[in-house]
Amino acid sequence: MWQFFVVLTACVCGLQAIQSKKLSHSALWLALTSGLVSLLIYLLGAPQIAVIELSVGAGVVTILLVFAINIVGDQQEAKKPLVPKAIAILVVFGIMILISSTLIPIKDHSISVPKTVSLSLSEMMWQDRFLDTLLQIILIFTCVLGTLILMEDRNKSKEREK
Amino acid sequence: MSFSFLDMIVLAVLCLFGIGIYALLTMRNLIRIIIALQLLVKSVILFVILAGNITGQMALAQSMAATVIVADTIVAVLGMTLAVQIKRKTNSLDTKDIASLRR
Repeated sequence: MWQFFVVLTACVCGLQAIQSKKLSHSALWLALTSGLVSLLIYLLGAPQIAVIELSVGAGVVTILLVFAINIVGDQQEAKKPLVPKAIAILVVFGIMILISSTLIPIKDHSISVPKTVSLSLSEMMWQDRFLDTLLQIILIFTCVLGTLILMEDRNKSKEREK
Repeated sequence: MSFSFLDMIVLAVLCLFGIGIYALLTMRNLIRIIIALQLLVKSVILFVILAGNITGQMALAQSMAATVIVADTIVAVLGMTLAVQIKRKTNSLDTKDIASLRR
């Protein structure tokens, strides 16, 4: 039963992440959501991904978010939303009902699983999906380079040239 | 009517997905949009792991989830750097203020 409270807390934290007025508070609520989601992932039997999610989702992304918020300032949200809130709620409930009608209760589904040789995670990552892993490594390097280029303050670099 | 643990996970996925979509539809601040995207992706990761658990292909699901986490982090980092540059250039993070295409 305690799992239900974890699920409930994760949802409340997610709601707080978009509802709190200060951006820095939102970042912290998001970190808490990430931690609870990683706990749920661990309970589902994927400890490696739980650790990655905890370190990346609750660690790196939160630090970068706080850093970015520190630069741009803790602005107040504009009062008028992009889409009227009533329409947004209707759309969200429509999507949620559509998805839940196909999923709940989950036991009744007879899923046909294609028979494959069961591999461990490391075998899957470095043998079966090696190209994917390689692409991820390249993507990370591209992201770092792109971030360095984007974060560069052009005015300062011009001053240096002078 | 009793809920199993997997049903609870589906509930969490639905709630986080709904919150993320709602935030994407209503928020105008660029940083908040990134936070909404993060929430959406968290629900998707949870769902991928749940699918792996149900079908018994946890290794495949975990490797897929790792790919999603990497892609999501890259999107978040690049989004944040773009937001910082936009703030420096236009002094605003509002999506309506920075839109140059007028209707």
